[in-house]
Amino acid sequence: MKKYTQARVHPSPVLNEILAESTPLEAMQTKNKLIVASRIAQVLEEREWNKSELAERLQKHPSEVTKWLSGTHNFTLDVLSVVCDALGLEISDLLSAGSKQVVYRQSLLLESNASVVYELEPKWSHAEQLPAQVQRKKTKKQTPSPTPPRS
Amino acid sequence: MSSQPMVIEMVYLPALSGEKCSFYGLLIDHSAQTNFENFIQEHQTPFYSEVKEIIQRLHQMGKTTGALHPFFKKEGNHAYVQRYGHTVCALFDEERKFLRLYCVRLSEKTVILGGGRPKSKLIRRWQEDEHLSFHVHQMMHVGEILFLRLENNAINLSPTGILSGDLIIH
Repeated sequence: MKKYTQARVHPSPVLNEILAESTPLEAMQTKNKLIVASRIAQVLEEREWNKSELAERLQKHPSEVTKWLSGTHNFTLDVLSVVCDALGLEISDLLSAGSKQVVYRQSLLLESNASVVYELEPKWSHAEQLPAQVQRKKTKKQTPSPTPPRS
Repeated sequence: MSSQPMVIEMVYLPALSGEKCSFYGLLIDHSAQTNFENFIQEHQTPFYSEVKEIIQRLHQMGKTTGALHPFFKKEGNHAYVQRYGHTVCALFDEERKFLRLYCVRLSEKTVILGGGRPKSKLIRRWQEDEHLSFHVHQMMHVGEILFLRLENNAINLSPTGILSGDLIIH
């Protein structure tokens, strides 16, 4: 098997200095913009929509969607709500980093040992966040009616 | 503008790289700084906030999101794109911003940062400015050699986005 030489590591005082000048708030603002854009891009990819399709559904110009996905856009809550409405997401779904598999479930029932039925909302949900999305439905699990005693 | 430099070495930039993306810079003709660092130093006085934002964005891509394709604008000429796809890019810039930073984006895990310049509001395309053209052509040159070496197994790209092998272009 061929052995490859690693690239030389180039420490950069110039870059470190500028990064050190950034406040934690600035870093968080940049990070959140990138995360929101990456989550929207990820959901579009999973749904096999391109940005033009999203733009069409929202009656926006594609260049506006391009800007949303660029990681530079400072979203208002109103715009985020419109995007989430189109994608069937909650705003909180857009603020978590990392790749999460998004699955669509019309209705999924999970039964606990306590005979309480849990129902997922019929919408896009993060598979890795299922417990948080589970809506506790206060209905007792129906137990099968006892078979009548034989006479 | 001068022709393409004699020696270009791709070096790993730990200041920006992270779990999600590895960034590389180009040391040209054995210089002490990469051309990306030169770009930063040259423009940090007139465009400090833009420079800081560019570095923060790259740093967060390295750590948090990876270098997703919507974070970049496709560049390069038709002949390059036909052969190597939209791998020469500029970091996405808002309309009110001036600085253009060019790079070769191999994937969301690997980006080679080049140089850049402020783009005049009087032009629309990089072809209209000789300095911007120089940087885009430099990245197309790097991209072309990179793809040839990847194809010939002279360079290896690991699944985690780490480049290794013959990373010096003569």
